[in-house]
Amino acid sequence: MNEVPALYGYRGYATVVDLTTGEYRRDAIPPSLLRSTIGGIGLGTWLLHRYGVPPDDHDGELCADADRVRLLDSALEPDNPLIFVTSPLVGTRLTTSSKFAVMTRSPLTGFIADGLSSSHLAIELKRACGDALVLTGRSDRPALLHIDTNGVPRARPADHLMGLSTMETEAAVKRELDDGGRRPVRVACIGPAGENLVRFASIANDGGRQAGRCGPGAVMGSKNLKAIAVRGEPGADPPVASPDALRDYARDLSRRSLGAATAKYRELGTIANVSVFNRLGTLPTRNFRQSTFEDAEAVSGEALHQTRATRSAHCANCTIGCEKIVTVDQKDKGRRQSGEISARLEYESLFALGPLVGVGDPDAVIRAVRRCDELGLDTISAGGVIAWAMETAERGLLPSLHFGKSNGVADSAPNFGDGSAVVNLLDDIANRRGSLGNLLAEGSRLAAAQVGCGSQAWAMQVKGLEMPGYEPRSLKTLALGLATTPRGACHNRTSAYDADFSPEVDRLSVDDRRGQIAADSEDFAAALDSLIWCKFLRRAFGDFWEESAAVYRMVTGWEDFDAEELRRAAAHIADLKKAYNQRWGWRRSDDTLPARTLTEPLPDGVAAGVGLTTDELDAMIADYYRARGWSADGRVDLAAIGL
Amino acid sequence: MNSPATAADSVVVTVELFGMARMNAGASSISLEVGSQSPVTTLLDALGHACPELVGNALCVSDDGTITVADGYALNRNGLVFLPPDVNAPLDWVSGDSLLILSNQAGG
Repeated sequence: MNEVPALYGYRGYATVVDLTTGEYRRDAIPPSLLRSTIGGIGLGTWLLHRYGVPPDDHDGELCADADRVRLLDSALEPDNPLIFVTSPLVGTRLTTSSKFAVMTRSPLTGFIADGLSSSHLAIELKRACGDALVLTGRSDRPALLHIDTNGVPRARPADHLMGLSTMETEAAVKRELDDGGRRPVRVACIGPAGENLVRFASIANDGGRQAGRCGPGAVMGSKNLKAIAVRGEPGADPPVASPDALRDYARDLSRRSLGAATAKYRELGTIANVSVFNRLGTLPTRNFRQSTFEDAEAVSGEALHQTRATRSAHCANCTIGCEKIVTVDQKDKGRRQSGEISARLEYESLFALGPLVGVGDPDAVIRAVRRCDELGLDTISAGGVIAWAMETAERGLLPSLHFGKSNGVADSAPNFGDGSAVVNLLDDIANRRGSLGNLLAEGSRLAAAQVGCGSQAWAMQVKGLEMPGYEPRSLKTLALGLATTPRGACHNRTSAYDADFSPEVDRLSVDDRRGQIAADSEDFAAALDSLIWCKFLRRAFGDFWEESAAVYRMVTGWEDFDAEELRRAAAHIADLKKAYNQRWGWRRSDDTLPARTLTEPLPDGVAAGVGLTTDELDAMIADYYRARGWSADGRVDLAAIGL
Repeated sequence: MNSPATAADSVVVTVELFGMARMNAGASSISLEVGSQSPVTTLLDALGHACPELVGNALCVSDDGTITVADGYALNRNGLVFLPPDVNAPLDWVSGDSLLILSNQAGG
């Protein structure tokens, strides 16, 4: 008789590594906890509470501005954990399920940093490390953490890797740990930006995939950890409870994933947003001073597909293939050449290093995106802080001390539209080279605080995180989502924009339904991000909640788990995320939008003249708090959620 | 131009195409002459006849022979108002109006 496994779909433990001592242990994760937090970002948030909050947490205290800077810096101290979390779906054949979460406290926001990435690394992590890999402490020298099939973490010297780009690092680690060509290790690593503690440094994996937002790469750099290399035992995948049913379901879902619901992503990719957003007056341009861009057509997805060699790429175990790899080479469209420069172009990267900084040359954008990926920089924050610098310089407020010429550092103010200056600045930022590079490496909020002169008003960030490419004044439901999401200005932890791009609401005005819509969209995202499904699959489901609960039953064997329990889990996860921020000093005033969006109506496009007032935003926020069941000042009852 | 409009009440509406609709049509916009009180279905029918490359892509033919917008697409009027895909009521059109056909997915 076969032995009945203790758990289906999960490993039931986390591998915890103290990088200071090199010791490791396996901490059990109770099944009830796995069930209530699902996995991915849900489980990761609970692990952050467990491993990342000091006993004398800050809940209920007013956090002075001076303390805020200290809290930001403390995210780079050894006791801030860096956690990689898998999910119950990892290791199954379900499309888009090879994803993992990267959790830490952000040195950019001081609050929760909950990134997602898709790659083969997810599969190897689950095999070798269990449901999560928790990294604490700090290595006393540059380290490569190698976790092989026995699951034992070993720190190796990484001095020879320092200074290498993310792509160079991954290649070098794979060569170093080659097992004779049988099975490659899967690598997560940082580039120069992470080494230099740039507050918006990313973690790269699997050939350029990025866990980008909120600076997890800086936390990894603060631990003196250049790379993680994982190779699990192929037979170590936990069993699923109903393999036959799951196989049938996986086949059906894959078929649906190739239908109309994902057509945009498969055919043109997310870069198709540029022309649409421009027409709808929601394409942030020149640091959010405009909502349309005169060169939008030149950098549109349609134009790039017609004028540049473009190919699709798939994440591990994904049928959609939304990634579009675009090369700068125009003359030989369709024929790859050695030495060509290409980049994985997503809408957000394209927006941030194109319209946001006034650059309409597609090749300049492609080069900048590529450079961010090599350096390990979050493209959105990089574009955001450069756009802030451009406007500050244009106003004559960027102190001349930032233009001192040394070692090739920029000797003039950056101007909107100067693509070459953008690429040069990216290198300066990643290497904290020169006064300006060092300033911008802090992110737009801290940079504006240093420069002063009112420049905070055009630092386009929420909670310190630079804004994504959705104009909140012409997308009022999303405006609420951006203001309240614990991560900061993020469009992925809320899908509130779905309502704005539909007949459901008038996107240009506010009403009292937005709080509930934003809360519901946040719960939806929490479920997606915890199971973990790709967001681009979301319209391929019939009833998402019923279908996902059924899949969860097939995987875990918990037959009484239903859609209602999944909804409760999602709401609980939203509470846990907010609670984490509370414990790190969240204040009601943190839930807001940049001053520009609350004081300046849009000057152009179909939404010209449309603005958003503080009163309108506050009314929506109050509705949102009510919908969440939080107090009127936005606080969650920690005891009520088991903290 | 295939249109049911009479000269007296006809207006010119521009259909703006985005994403794969634009790629399939080989054009970013198509002007249609339609009645000033036309339902969206009339515009889509005229569009299907003016640009048959869109049928089977952004447009599809229903069992009753009418042309509708395909799954995965959304309709927007003048860049301002999103229309329900099944809207059949007559709308007031004036010359210079636009009907946008775009993906119903805004994720990025």
